[in-house]
Parts: sequence; structure tokens; C-alpha cells
Amino acid sequence: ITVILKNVERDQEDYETEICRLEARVLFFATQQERLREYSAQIKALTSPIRKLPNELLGRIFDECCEMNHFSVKQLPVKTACSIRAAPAMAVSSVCARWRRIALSLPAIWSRICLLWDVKAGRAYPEPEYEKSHFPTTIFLTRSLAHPLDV
Amino acid sequence: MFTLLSEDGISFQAERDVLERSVLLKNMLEDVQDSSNSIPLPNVASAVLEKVLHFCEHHRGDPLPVPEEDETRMRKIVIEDWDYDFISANCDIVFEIIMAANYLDIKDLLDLGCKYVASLIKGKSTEQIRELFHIVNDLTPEEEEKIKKENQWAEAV
Repeated sequence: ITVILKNVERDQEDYETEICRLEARVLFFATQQERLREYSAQIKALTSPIRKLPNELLGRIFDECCEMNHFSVKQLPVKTACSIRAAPAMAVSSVCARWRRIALSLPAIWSRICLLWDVKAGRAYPEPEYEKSHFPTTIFLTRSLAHPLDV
Repeated sequence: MFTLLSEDGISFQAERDVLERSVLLKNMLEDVQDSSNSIPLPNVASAVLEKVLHFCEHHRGDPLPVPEEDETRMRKIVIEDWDYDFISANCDIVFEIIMAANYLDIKDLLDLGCKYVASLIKGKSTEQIRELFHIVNDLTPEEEEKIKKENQWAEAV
């Protein structure tokens, strides 16, 4: 019995060692797969047709897609003002360094704002909450520079 | 009839009023008396030139678009049915068409291409835009942090 038990324990140890070895292999392959995924994305990015467009044309496209930036403040304290999809200027300016540079150089796309302000009047809110609610508006107004606003 | 020569050496024939949709070609044709010589277009591939000429033929006789002066006009992406069918059928070469329209100075085709791409971007999140155009996020950690702060008010969807 002692011998049998010893053999069983040895087998268990062998399996444990094998499991550890295989887990390490799985981790290795997962890391390699992730690296290849990133590499593939970089290669695809290099051949992406939109890369060929000069800044002037990309800016023109931004101007068309940022016809209006919608956001709303429905209650204070503000938890969610709106989806970023409704504010295309914010979306395109967060894509990559080049798109950000172009978007920030176009005051027109920041000058179109649709603000839904639905907060109960007459109630005192702490100053930070008001500041937070005005935050997106402040960004848009700052970036629109001297461009006429469309509010 | 005039002959255009694409960058890959393919010839295309078109009439003057079709070619005059392009400001570049219109100016060139004013200097060309003899239509037997072909006009080389070293920046436009045959596959793209064919589509460009198709667009110009469809719009021959239409009034030429006037340059926009009112920068504050209300933007709205409106695309006519035929134009939408045309550009969406050629969506795999839409950026080449935009580049050709820009080079040949065909305002209505350039507008159409830009509006079509804008319509693809509109309503999408940042991540969806990256996936759509295979763009790698190369923002620095500082820029990322700033964007995160700017977008704190928005749902990340």
C-alpha cells in the first residue's frame, strides 16, 4: 500500500509539473498572439488608404462629419452628460496623434454645439458640480477660438 | 473627343463637356487645339479614372458648384440617390477617388467623397473609427490622460 501511495503521489506531482509547463506554454502563445495582433494592426495601419489623404482633405471630412456636437446635462451631480458618439469633434480628436492635431486646428468643428440643459432651477448646487457640468462647453468654446458659434 | 492617359498607360476617351467638370482639365483643354494628342494624368490610375469619368458623364450639363463663402452655414450630410449608389458601389477606392477629384479639381465629386467618408465616421465611437480605418492609437500617455479627462463627462460607448 505504501508503495502504491508513493506511486500515486509521484504521478500527481508529475501531472502538476506538466500542468504548470502547459500553462506557461499557453501564456507564452497568448503573449505571442497578442504581439502578432499588434504587429498586424500596425502593418494594416501603414497600408490604410485614409493615411494617404493630406491633412487638408482629412480636415474637410472632419468639417462635414462634425455638423453638430450634442450634449446634455439632465441632472446634477453630473454622472453622464452624453455619449461621445453624439459629439463627433471629441471622437475624431481622440483617434490618433495626427487626427488630434488636425481636429484641434479646426475651430469650426468646435463651434457647433447643441446643449440640452435640463436641470431644476432654484436649487443650489455645489460649485464643483456646476463646473463639471460646464466642462464640455468650456472645451468647445475654447477650441472654437474666434469662429462664429452655431448654438 | 479627347483622350486621357492614366498613370498605368490606359487610354480613355471623353467629350469636352464631360472633361470640363474638372477645372484642371478645362484649363488644359483651353490650351489644346489638337485633340489627337492624349492628355497624360500621371496621378490617376485607370481603375479610378474610369469611375471619375463615369461620374462626370452622369453630371454633364449640371451647373458647376460654386465655391462656398458662408463658413457658418448649417452643415448637413445630404447625398443624392444616384451619387450615393455611385460612391457606395466604389467604397473600396473612395480615398483614391477623393484624391483624384482633388487633383483634377472636380468640386462635386470631392464633396461627395468627403461627405460619404464623413457619414461613415459620424455616430461612431473613437474605437470604432480606429477599427473602421485600421488606425493605430499612437497618442502619448500624456495625451491619453488629457483626453480621458476631457471625456470624463461622456459615456465611453
